[in-house]
Formats: sequence, structure tokens, C-alpha cells
Amino acid sequence: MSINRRQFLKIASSGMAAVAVGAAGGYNLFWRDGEAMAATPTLILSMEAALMEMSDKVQLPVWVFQKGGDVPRCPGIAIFSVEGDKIDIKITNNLTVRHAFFIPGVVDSGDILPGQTVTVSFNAPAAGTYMYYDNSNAPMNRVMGLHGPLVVLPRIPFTPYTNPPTSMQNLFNDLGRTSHFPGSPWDPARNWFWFLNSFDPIKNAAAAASPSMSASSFTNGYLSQYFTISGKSGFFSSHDHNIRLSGNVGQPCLVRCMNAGLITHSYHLHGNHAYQLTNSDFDKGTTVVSDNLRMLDAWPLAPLQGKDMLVPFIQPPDIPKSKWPPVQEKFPLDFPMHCHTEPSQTAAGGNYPHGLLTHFIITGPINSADGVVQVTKAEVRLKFGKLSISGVSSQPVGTILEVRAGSGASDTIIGTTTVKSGGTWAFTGRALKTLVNRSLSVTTQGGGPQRLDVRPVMR
Amino acid sequence: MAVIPRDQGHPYDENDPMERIMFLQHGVAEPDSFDLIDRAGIVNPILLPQADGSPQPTDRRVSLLTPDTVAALQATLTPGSAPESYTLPTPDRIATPDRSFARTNVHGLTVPVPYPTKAGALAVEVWGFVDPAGAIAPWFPGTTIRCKEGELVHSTLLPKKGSHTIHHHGIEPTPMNDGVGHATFLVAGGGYTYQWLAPDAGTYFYHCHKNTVLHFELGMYGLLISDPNVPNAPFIDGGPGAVYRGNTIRNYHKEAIWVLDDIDSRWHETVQPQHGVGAGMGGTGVGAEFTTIGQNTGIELHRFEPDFFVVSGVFADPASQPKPNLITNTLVSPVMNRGETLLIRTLNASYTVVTLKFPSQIDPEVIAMDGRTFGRAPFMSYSRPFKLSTQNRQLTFTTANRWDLLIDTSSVPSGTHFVDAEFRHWRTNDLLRTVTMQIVVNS
Ligand SMILES: [Cu+2]
Ligand SMILES: [Cu+2]
Repeated sequence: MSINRRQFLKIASSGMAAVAVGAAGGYNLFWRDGEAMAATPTLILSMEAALMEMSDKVQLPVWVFQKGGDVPRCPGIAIFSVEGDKIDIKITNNLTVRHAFFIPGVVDSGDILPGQTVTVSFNAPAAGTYMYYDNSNAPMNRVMGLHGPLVVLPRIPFTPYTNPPTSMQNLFNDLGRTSHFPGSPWDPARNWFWFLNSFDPIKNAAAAASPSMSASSFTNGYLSQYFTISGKSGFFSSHDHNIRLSGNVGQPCLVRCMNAGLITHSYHLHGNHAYQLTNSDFDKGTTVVSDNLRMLDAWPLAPLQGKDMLVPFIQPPDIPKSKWPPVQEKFPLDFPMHCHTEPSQTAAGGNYPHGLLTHFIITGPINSADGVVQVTKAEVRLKFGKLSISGVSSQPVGTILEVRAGSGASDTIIGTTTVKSGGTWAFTGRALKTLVNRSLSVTTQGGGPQRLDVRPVMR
Repeated sequence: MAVIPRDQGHPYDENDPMERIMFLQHGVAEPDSFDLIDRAGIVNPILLPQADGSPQPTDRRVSLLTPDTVAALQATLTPGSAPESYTLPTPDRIATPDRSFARTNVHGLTVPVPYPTKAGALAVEVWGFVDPAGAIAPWFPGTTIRCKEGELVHSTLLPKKGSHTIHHHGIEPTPMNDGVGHATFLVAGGGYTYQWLAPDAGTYFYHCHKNTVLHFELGMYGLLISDPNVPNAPFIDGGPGAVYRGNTIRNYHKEAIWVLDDIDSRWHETVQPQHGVGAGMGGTGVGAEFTTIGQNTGIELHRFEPDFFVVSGVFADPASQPKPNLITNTLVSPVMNRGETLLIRTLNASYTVVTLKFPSQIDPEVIAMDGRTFGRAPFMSYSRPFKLSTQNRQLTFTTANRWDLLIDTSSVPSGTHFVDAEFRHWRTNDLLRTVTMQIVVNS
């Protein structure tokens, strides 16, 4: 379980093995402690056969989307991009029958024949969570493992969406800025995936033996023996930093819940209720961004359904106030998250709890070192050559922020501003350099844990 | 062919004793309350001393409690005493609660069923919870825990037939008071008192969280209601009482409780009696911590095919009149005088996907889900109550979801109105049964 700091930070800032695609101009995502996820212009994927080890060491045949130069993973690598950016993905089918790369409403490769390479190009759609999968011979190829997440970020990631409805905007405005949400605003680096699938070893073996078998013979009599969350189960999903949530009180996080499998699940989070932000149908390709935010401790997820949930990381509300922080119990406070449709908690017909579960870890009370910088507005007035950028921060009043043109090693400081009382900040300056680089970043003078990159709106 | 390891990117070292103990305590060797006082008190083949004779580290005790607390617990131990005589003290205990409950579990009792089980019996064993000071029946679902928002509650479990837990579902205390066996400990011996604040007013439940897949199915659950902090609260099940609608208190005349459950009689009459309460909890012995699918023949806790459907402990009967599967028990199916207000608290305690369908004459308002009231400041100020007619007078919910529905009967025509509950299989979506509740409105 030893994991070095560098690895941990990389993982913590994406929630899954991830790659950023698109974005010209050296744009980076998710800076934290000097680690950034750098964008690649073209993503190389191939469809491969692999064996996937279950929690009890039983190995099952699966088919996966594998990133060039990477190891096979199931689900496939998380693809990150920014709204409107052009994405190119070059896909080679190394399997024995035709397959496809499909994001409903966004892109459909059509048949990719065995041995064939196809490049799909599309513009990143509206900010939110998407599933890429093989829609051929549905649902068999998808359930065999050909699926993964696509995340699209807004140009200004104050919330996960562009122009969210009023209630949601109010929620994000309040995080870290009201008495009921002490701590920090949402940091876009605090992002996880709970991506579900299940496995019937008999069916997987049958599909591996005859990949052109009909989907109906795959689904008829399908009886899952293994239930996975982001590709793992039981102890292994519970202790993987990629899957289990962690943070101090006051560090809200986003969890993108997705279901590629054949079973309707019921996620149940202990320790905090979570806000449901969206409801996606990855069959039809539709997403509703909610204006009436439910706060739930259990939420259904049907096959090909997705829900983005905001876990507020508040002090667990039903601990007596005079016993916070606890004296005899100690941090981290370790809570479970599991599917409450409990047969999913098994493996090979028993072995409770080695199924679909993970943990939710509150590492400590509010910590002022967790400060977050967020941008609420960034715009360039072309006519006047003027840049104005403003936002909020949970850092102390007087903290000096540096506004930089560009993103990455070659950026330059174009000015500074300070955090005012009430946690707001603003900067106005000349726009020339930002126009060239098309992106801006905000850092804390003297170094800070976070660096935020945004794309100003051109007017 | 490349193998995707079960611990990809986050390696698990079986030879590291600390990691191994974490692994074992996640599943086959969940510690019980006595183990937290003294590891040596348990006989578990996996946790016997290591080859060199040194004791295994008890990381669960060390990870949950401060060293001072662990030392103080050990000091309470009398050498040679049996685990049954020990009560694990509640950490950070406040001496004087506002309200106390005690529960013990019921097992070995059967309830009659309206048609034969898979084994051909006309009764099925169900477990449950009761107040040890009260009557044994009814125990399924367990006796409701009812408290008032903001009270300091002590809820004591006095387990029988091995170890169990209580997880007060939807209530968010510390891990030690959360009652999850694999994350903390199982309650054995002299019991344990869970300490928590009565949560935001709303509908919750409680259940055993040991081998949950089996113990929850066998009936170890009951409703838990947190009433608003108003005079006469907590109220009696069935009403009258009061709830929040947004930030305002609303009185209701009657309260209908719809706890929807399903039963696979195989689990009750074959799995549990033949394989024991630990059925499905894995293997024993170093290198054999998992059971195989072959060893689990006859257990198969991944295979759930319900043959009975239950609302608040009442079994649906396809031969019932005037409609099949009609539940007429008045706690489920109330009789209202027109103009009165009805509150329906509904919980999906089944392992199926349930859709409730209201008739065109009734348009309930959804005022809360999972114990959180729409429109109530501060946490729910990003929401508002809504009419069920905005979603075709239907709601679909999965295991553990609660919906609170408010019905003003002044606009409901007099007569008998039927509400259908469709139980659908979690995998196939096949309709397994439609159970009907009724709301009678007299003019
Ligand atoms: Cu139990
Ligand atoms: Cu529960």
C-alpha cells in the first residue's frame, strides 16, 4: 500500500488513470503541487483482449480500450478535454471481429474492422460527463469491457458545467463562503469516478470463445458473479486512492457515477449526504443539469445511466457538536460507500464484502492550508485590449495572487492582485499576451498547492 | 495475454503483515467489540499468532482509537474473563442522553405466508429487532425508532446468536457509531451503545450491517423517524403528527408507512439454516480467504429471485379480494376524511427496483427524500418540493431510498384509490409482482 507522494498527487488530481486531449497552446489541466495533466493533440487507442483478475484471483477474459504506451485497464483511460476543443482519437481494432467507438450524440466511428485503424474527430461537447463505449452487438461488447469515461470541462471551471441553472450556481457560490459550508470552494482537481460494471464468468468465457455470438445469447441467463467499481472490488476498491474519496472537512469533491453494466445499482454513501447535480442517459446521449438539487444518501443508477454527485465534505452532521473534533476516536474517519442492493456486495456467490464498494475518508477537520483559488469570470474585450478576471479564494485576506498569461512552463506573470475580505479578488490588465496564448493561470505568490487554468471568454 | 491485476496501480503486498491484517479485517476477520478491547480474546484461525509466536498487529483497534483510549480499554480487562461479560465503552461518550433506545435481535421465529415457499412450507423464518423490554411481536419490520431532531440519542444493541450491528441508515455520526462491521467492528458479548444526534427531521431506517446481504434480507431492519422539534414529538406511528414542508411546519392527520420488501424463501429456509449466519462471508485459513463459486453452491448470494412481496410486514397475496395483492392493513392503507392531510413515508427495503404509480385522482407532493426536506435552509435551499404529476404520478426507487409524500385530500374525490407498487428484477427489469395499496377518502 506504500505509494509515494508523487504518484498520490497525480492520482488525486484526476480520480482515474487519465489523459487530456485537444487543446492547442500547451494547455494543462488540474495543477496540484506542481503536478499537471498535460494535453496531447491526438489520443491513440487500441481495442485489445486481456485477462482481468477479480478480487479472489479468478481471471476473466475482457476486451478493453487501451491507450498507446499504457497497460490495459477496464474501464479504459479517462479522457479529459475542454468544451469546444477539437479532439482527435486514432483507434485500432486488434480484436477478431468488428467493433466501434461511440459517444451518443457526439461521435460514432461506425464499424472498425479487425486490423483496421480509424481516426475520429469531434469537438468536445457541452461541459459534463460522457461515456465512450462500443455500441456494436449491444450490450455485449460494452459489458465485456469496451467502455470508459470522457470528461468535458467548461472554459471557466467554477462549476463542472457551463451556465448551470440558478440553484446549482448558488450551491457552488456558497461552498466555502457560507456558515453551513465552511472551508473552500470546489477545486476542479477534486474529481473522482465511480464507474460500475459486473461480470458473469460463463458469459465472458463464451464471448471470448466466439466473439460474434449474439448479444441475446450473452444476456439470456446472465448471472453476475463479480461487481466492480472503476474496475475493482472489495478490499481493492476500498483502499485505492483512485476510487475512495478523501479530504478534510471543507474540501468538496465531484464524483462522476456511471454504469456500463447490466444491473440497476443503488449507491449508498455513509458520513455525508451528496447533491445530485446531473442525470445522464448514455444510451440516448442526453443530460439534464438539475435546478432542483436533491441531497441523497442513496441514489439509483440503471444500466447506461450517469449521475454527477457533489460530496460536500461537511463535518458529519450527527456527531454531537461538543465532541468535534473527536478525542477518543481518531482521524482519518473512515466511512464506506457501497451498493445497497446487497447481492452486489458478493464475489463468486459469497465472500461479503468483496463486491461493489469503496470508502469515503475524512482525513481531518478544516485545514487553512487547503486554500483554493477559483475564477468566476474571465473575459477579454478585444476592442479595448482589456482583460478582466475575478474570482474567489479561501486563502487568507491579503494573500497575493499572480495572474499569468499562458499555461505551462513558458507562462509569464502579467500582474498580481490580493484576496480581499469576503474572499474575493479581481484583476484588470492588458490582454495582448493572453490573446496569443489563449489561456490564463492563477497561482499563489511564493507557491501554493494549486494552480488554476482558465480560458477567458472573448468579447 | 496481459493481465489486469486486482490491485492495479495500488499494489497489495500479501507478505506485509500490516497490509495483510487490513485485508483480512475487511472480510473474513472483521473484529468484534471484544477484539477492540483485547485481541487475544478471539479465536480465529487467520489471526492466530504468527510463525514466530508474536501476536498479530490489531490495526483496526489502532486505526479507530487513540493509543490512550486503547490502553484504557485494555485496563478494564480481567484476565480469563469471557467476552460475553464485556461491554465496549462508547468513545467520546456523553453521560446523559436526551433519549435512549435498546434493541435486541429476534431469530428462530416464523411468520405465516399466503402460499407455499420454494421448499413447500406455509411459514418462513424472518429475523427482526425488538425492544428487549417490550413485546416480541411484531418484530418484522423491527420496532420503529422515533426521536426528535437535535436530541442526543443512545441506541444500544444487545446482540443474540453471535455478533450483529445496527447501522442507523442516513444518520451520520463517527465511524465507531456508524455500525458497519467491515469498516469498524461487530457487536458481540455485552453489547454496545451507539451515540448520535437525531438528524434533520425525516424518514430513516436501521439495519444490521454484518454480512448485510444476508442479515438485511432475513429481516434485520426497522424504520427510524426523526420528528421536528415541536410539542408532542416524537409522534406515534400512524399519526397525527407534524413534518417540515420547506421551512414551515405542517400538521398531518394520518401517516401511512410503506416499507416495501421482497423475500427469496430459498435464502430463509436453505441458505441460513443449512449454512449458518456466516454464509457467504468467505473462507478460513491462510491462503484460502475466499470461497469459490463451487464451494458456494447452495449459498449463491448473487442469485436473488424473490417469491414473496411484503409491505410493512404484510405479505401480498395474489388470491386477495377485491384485488390481487391488495394490502388493507390500515397502517399501510389508511382511511381518510376528505380535507385531512396524509403523510406517506415510503422506503424501498427490497433488492428490486420499485415503481410506485398513483392514480389520476391523487397528486402527492414530494416533500423530502432520504431525510432531507426540499426547500429547507440551509442545506436544502437549492431545492423545492414538487408535485408527482411532474413525473407522470410515478416514482422509481432502489434499495434504501426514502420518499416522503404529502397528500391534501380536500381535492381528492371520495372513494377508494389504488396505488400500485411494481417490483422489477434488478438485472432483467422483468415485472415480478404488482402490489396494491389503497387510500380510502370518505366525504
Ligand atoms: Cu446481523
Ligand atoms: Cu443502509
